[in-house]
Amino acid sequence: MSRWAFVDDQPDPAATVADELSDSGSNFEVFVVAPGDARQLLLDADARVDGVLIDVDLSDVPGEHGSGPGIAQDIRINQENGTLSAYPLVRFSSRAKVLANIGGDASSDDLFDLKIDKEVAVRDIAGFRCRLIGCSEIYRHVGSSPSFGIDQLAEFLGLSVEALENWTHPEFITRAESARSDKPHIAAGLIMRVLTQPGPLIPEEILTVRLGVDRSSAGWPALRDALAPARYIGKACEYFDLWWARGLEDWWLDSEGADTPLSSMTIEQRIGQLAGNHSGLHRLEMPPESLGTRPWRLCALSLEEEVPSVIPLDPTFGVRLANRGNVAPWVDPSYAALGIALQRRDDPRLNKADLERHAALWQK
Amino acid sequence: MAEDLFFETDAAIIARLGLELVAKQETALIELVKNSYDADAKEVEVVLQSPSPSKRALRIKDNGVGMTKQELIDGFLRLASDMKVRSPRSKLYGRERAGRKGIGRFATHRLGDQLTLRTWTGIASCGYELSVDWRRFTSGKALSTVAVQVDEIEPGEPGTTIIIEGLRDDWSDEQIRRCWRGVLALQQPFPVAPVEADVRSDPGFEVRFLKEDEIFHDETLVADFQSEILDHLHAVIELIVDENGVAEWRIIKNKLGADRPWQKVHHAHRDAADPPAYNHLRNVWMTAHYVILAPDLLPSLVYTRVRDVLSDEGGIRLYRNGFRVVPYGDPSDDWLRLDEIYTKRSLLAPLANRNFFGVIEVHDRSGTMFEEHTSREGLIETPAFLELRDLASAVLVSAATRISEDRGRRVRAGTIRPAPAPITGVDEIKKAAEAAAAAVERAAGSAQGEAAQEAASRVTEVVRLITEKSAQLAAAEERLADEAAMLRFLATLGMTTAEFSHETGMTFEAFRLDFDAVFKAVAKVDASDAAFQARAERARGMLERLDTLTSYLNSLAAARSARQMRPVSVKALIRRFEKGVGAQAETQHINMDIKVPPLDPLYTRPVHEAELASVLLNFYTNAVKAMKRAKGDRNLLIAAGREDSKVSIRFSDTGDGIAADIKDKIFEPFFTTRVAPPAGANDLEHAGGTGLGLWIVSQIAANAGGEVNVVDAPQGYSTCFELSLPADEDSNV
Repeated sequence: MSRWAFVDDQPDPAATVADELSDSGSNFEVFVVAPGDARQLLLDADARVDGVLIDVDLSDVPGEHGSGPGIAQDIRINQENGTLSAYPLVRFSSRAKVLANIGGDASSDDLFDLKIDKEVAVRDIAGFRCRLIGCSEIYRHVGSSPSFGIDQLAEFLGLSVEALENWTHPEFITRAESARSDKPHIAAGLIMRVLTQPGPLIPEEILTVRLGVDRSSAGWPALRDALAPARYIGKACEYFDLWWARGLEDWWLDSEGADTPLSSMTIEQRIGQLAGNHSGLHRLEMPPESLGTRPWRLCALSLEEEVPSVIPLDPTFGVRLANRGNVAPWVDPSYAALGIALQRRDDPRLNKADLERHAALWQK
Repeated sequence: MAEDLFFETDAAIIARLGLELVAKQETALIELVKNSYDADAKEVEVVLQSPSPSKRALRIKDNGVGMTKQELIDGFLRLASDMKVRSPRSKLYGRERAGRKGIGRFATHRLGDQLTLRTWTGIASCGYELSVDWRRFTSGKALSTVAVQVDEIEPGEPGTTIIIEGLRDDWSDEQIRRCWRGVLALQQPFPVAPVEADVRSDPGFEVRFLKEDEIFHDETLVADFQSEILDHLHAVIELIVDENGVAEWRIIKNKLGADRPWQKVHHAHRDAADPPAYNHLRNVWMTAHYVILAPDLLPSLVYTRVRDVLSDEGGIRLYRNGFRVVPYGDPSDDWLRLDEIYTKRSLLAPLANRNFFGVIEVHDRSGTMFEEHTSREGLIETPAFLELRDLASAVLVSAATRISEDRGRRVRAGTIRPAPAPITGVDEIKKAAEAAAAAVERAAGSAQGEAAQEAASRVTEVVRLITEKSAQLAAAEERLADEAAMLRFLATLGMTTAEFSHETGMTFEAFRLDFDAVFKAVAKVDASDAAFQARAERARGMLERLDTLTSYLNSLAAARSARQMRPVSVKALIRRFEKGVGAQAETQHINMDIKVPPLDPLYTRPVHEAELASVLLNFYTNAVKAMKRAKGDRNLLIAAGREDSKVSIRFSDTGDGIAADIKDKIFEPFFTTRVAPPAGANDLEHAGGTGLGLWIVSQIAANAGGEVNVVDAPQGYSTCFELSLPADEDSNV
């Protein structure tokens, strides 16, 4: 049984979310803890929790002066000095509260293994639960690994050593190897970032974009099965539906027999190539806000909206977004589709040079 | 040797007591009218008679219970009688006695030299006439030696008539009116029908003051309820439901604007041009006087009087088959929920019970529509009663809103409200200029030459200009004060909404999750119940849509708190709007077509983004109503583009269009063609249809340097609003 604590200042809605997330079939239980009690419970070395969900703003509790990141920092310090066992921390707050209390300050980002928008998450409770259990599993597996030599790391990720070296990033391997076994939260955090931030591993939305395929195509499930060689099969893979980005490219050249890298081909060319081996596929349509014919990424700004939109993006015509805080070198750069970037031109993360260059093109 | 002696009373004590106890002539007359009230009179008529200029008299005639001979002796001739102490309530209707103990006879002395009192009980075989010549009560005589005459007279209808001759004072109309106001508290506003079938129930008390013309001896009315109260109110609202259940209402005698002709109405079909008949309600008449209790809208003397009367008596009373049904319209009764809604909404249009003065009469001889509680305390809430309550409140609220709209127009024209306090300094400048003008004129009068004349002429022109501009400033100040009041109200509403909206987010989500859990649990119990499954699915779908819309509105409320103005991408705005209301539109079977340029973000000059979002919401809600009325395909086209230095949004719908004669009025405050919801409807319903929506839109457009217009609709659409705003002068990057 995996037991998670949910630290929140609104007991009723929190209890509802906890009840929904708890699932005896999955051996997963969530219980609500008021902020004051959380400090007593979670900082006690004998506390048995497998993960903690923490709201950012806890001010609804009378007399409460602390915050979610504050509690998270205390937990991490105690995990660092060995007083507490390692378990995942998940920031679980509404977008408005995050904006009001954290804004663009990335200093607390590294405390959390996942940062989840409450209102989005509760629309897909099963998917959310799956990610939390996956997170717990990663911590559990990391905790049971004596160290992260390259062999262990490859095995952990379900790759051969050669594939690990080709499909991931040297920096990632170096950091994983240097993670001390007595501080599993560091290694687990590293793994979680690989699993949750597009880079070496990509989710299905990006996979279809790179293939130039409409995800609603009848032939897509079969093609997805055909992509098994690139699928993530490492630890906790049942909780993370991911594909190796380099694995996809290898598959493209090796299995599909293409002689041009996927990223260099237009949607038409990708679909044309796939049509040789697969049926029932429709081409991906680029929305008018997104220029180009070689989609590779998703518009990050559209994904941040209250009702997120998945907008494919051709980096040639995309507008780069500056990263907040420290982003690992293996993580894909963030882009915004030109049309969306123009609508949000005051976003300080937008690369002004990109924006002006592309805008000049369409204005002509 | 002891001797028994007795007090003796000098006859002059009568005169002394009369003058000391009743100092003012009005008080004396009021006391006599109060005596009529105490005698259970239904009507009293006070006539100032003028048989000749030198021989004037007062006649006070009531239709009370009259006096027997003994009562006359005990009540009138026995000084310091304790009759009123022994019987604090009147004998027929149980009225609490209003007259002061033993003052009546002295009052007659205070008013004139000679008194003739005639009284009939209607039971005795004769009446009695008492004659008193007060001049005979002179000093030096024992009181018991001055006789007064009591004669038997012919029998007559019950009542008492007092005639006072040899009047000591003159009577102006204003003094007479003061007397009427002095007995106002005794009068019922609606004495026209009995309260109930019980003959002992108080039918009310009405006082009329008349004055006889000295030449023709015609009696003219000086003061009664109509002249002193009703004639000052601002409008009359009438409602009729005929024998087929068709309801119509109108506004007449509107002092603040134009009358409104009869128009059909059904509170549940508020947007319908030809609303259906009521299912249960028949044969109803309502007449309600309406007043805005503002000191600037009523003569100063009238204001206090009307306010006091209406605070006690305001409301709408209900009469069934000619008999009043209590407690409807009593001071503590709010059966039409007018007080409740006014208190809750803080609407600008005053529509509490104290703003109305009216009756509803229902004819229901067969007793099929209404049924009284066995306790005789009100009616059972039959379908007809519920229809009546909702219809009446909808009409009253609609009328109050229309009259507020009229008031707004009049305010702009500067014809109703007195000018507010002038802007500091302007008044002083004006006075100084007038003084200068007078000085120059005097100097010019004594001086010779054209230069002096020209100086006088120029200074006069300066004074004229200052006066004119001062008036313009005063009018502008008044308009701004009015707008500021309205904006304060809306700001309060907005702040309240914003304050609470962000709290709804997770609560709403949690509710949805709990609902799902309950649904699943119940569904497990009987999975074969297809009807339940369908219903639960429907509820789940509705919750989802409500959730999306709530999220959008919450985001608007959150954006509203960011007060900084900045360029807004109209394209992004429309995109968010589409996401926010799309699900709701689907439920209304509305096809929403968006046409925006693929890349041009269409930036405006700095504005409040939330304001532009509220413009779209306003267009949308108006369009939905119009399309529902039109009963055809429901298509919306939202197009945005750029032309010259403007960006525009064109919002088109397939509704029932806007009549040509109101196109120029729709952006005015309080203008609405919609019937108000019943007072008991929820706050959400009341928040709409106030007639402020398009006015706010026009204000937003104007403040942003743009405009909003009704323009020719594209092919296939009936109405098109165009919001045009200055484009951002910088490049779009």
